[in-house]
This record gives sequence, structure tokens and C-alpha cells, in this order.
Amino acid sequence: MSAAQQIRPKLAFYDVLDKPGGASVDDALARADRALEQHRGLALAEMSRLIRALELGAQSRRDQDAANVFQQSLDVLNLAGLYHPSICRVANSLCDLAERMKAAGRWDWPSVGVHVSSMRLLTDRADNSDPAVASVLRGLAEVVARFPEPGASPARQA
Amino acid sequence: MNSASLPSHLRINLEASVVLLIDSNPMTLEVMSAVFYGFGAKNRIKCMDLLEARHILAAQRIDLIFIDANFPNEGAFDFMRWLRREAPEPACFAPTILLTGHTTRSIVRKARDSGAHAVVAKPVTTGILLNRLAWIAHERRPFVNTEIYAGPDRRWKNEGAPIGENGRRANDPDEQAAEPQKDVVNV
Repeated sequence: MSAAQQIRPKLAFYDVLDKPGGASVDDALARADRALEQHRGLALAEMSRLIRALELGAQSRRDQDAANVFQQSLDVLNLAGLYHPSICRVANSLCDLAERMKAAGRWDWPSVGVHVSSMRLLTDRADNSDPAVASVLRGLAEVVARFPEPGASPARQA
Repeated sequence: MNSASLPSHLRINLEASVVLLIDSNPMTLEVMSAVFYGFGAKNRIKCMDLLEARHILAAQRIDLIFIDANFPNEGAFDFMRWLRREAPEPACFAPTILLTGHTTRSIVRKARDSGAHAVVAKPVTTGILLNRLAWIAHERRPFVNTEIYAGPDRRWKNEGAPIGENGRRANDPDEQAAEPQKDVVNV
């Protein structure tokens, strides 16, 4: 085993808490939240467009649509990750599902469909702590668990 | 300071900091740039291309890197390896926050081993991001360089080597003398 070399660089960034001026944490957060809000309308419109594309794919059930599900869900996740925590969690679940189904070699459109329907269902429920959201996420986890995790040992899959 | 909350009296000054934001999605890049502007970072460089990001880091001072992990072919992790292993000083030490989207066990492991100071999984809030910024500045973690890892020390509270192992750091307490302590790993 080789020795670990340890270095203590002096970085300007380390002084951002000690420097005079700047803003209080509360002010910085309030400004950042305002900035985030300015983009909300566009972001949610784009998210809705992406969910619609997933819906169309789940309806048509074509092979080429299956190939797009992971990326479309990831795109939803990336926007929802800033504005809509519950849809973010559903999209993460759909990404998991798409990866598992692909690895298992069996694609199941109804499992995709229930995820996409859940995105629509939770559109007005962004709060992760909402019991209804938790219930939906538990149900989706059971759907995902029907497919083994890629790379998982047979014992873990059981 | 712990990583869970920030005292409201704390002040943060990013006015002179140069922040490099790297994200392949133009919309989320724009949003994150606006958020960092809200935090007080006037100097922000937006970048959608990892090769361009390397050129920027080689050419100018960057105080903080914020990178989205959502690049094709795990490009963000390759970028992190280049940053810590091959980028010139002081760029190789740049504080880095890695933002992950789809979070699997494998991605969490790769993110942890990538050499980022902090890994943040979506969904994310401005509070979480500012918390991580302040935490990085407060902790001032040393860098370690080994055959298998280069980046901020993940045993950030140096309480000695893992139990039953001889420490590899010069300042690791002697195993016999040290109290049995938990090895704290942080990403």
C-alpha cells in the first residue's frame, strides 16, 4: 500500500465566509430564490412538454420510443430537480425502471405508463412530505422492484 | 458548523469569486447561473462543453466549479479525474460541487470517488447549495493524492486510520495509542 500525499492548498474561496461585505445567508437565499422563480414558468412548461412526449411514447408503445424513455425521463428529472421535488422522484424511479428493463431484456410499457400517469397526478403536489406523494412513490418502488437491479447478485435480486 | 444548517447571522461574500458552471442543458445552466448570481457571485462562466471547461481552467483562475453530472458517457466523472490528476495548479485544487440527477448506487459511488468536495443529488434547493458552499469554505479539507484517489480528504475529520489498519498519512495517530474511532467518510 502506498503512502498518501497530503496537501493543504491556500485557496481564495476558503475566505468567502470571513471577507467583509457580501450578504447574510438569509439575504443570499432570498435573492437566489427570486432568481430561481424568474425561470419557473419556462422550466415547468418545458417539463410538461417532456412529460407529454413520455405519454405519447407510452401510448404508441413503439421500440424507438422505448429507446428514448430513459433520456426523456432524465430530462424531466433535471428540471423537476430544481422546481418540483415529487416529479423529480418519479422521474428518478422511471430512470431506474428503464435501466432495469433494458438490462433484463424485457420492456414493460404498463410499468412506464404508471410512472408517467404519476407525474401528471402529482403535478399539483410538489411537496415530497405530502403523504399522497409518499404513497405514490412506494407504489412505484414496488413496480421497479419487479425488475432486478443491473449488476445485482442473484441473492440480492431475490 | 455542521452540514445540515447555516446560522442566519453568517455572511458570505462571493463578489470576487470566479465560478465556473458546467452543464450540458442550456436551461438548467441558465437557472443555476441565476442562482449563483443570487448568492452574490458576479463573475460566472457558463460552459456546456467539458473540453472547453478544461481550456478555461488551464487559462484562468477559477475559485469554484459547479458541475452537473448529466453528461453523456460519464463525461463529468472523466472531467473530475482530469481535474484532480492532470489540471495545472491551482485549478486541480478548485472546490467542486457535483450535482447528480439520476441517482443509483453506482453513480453515488462514482461521484464519491470523483474528487468532488460535495455531491448534491436532485431534487435540490438553494438552501442546500448555499449550505454546501459555506461548508466547503469552513472545512478547508486537505487534499490527498494516492494511487486510487486524488481530491479532498474524504476522512475529513482525521480521527485516524480505519480500525485495524495502519494509517497511510504522516499525521495518522498510532493505532495502538488511538481510541477506537469511526472512520468518517464524506462526500
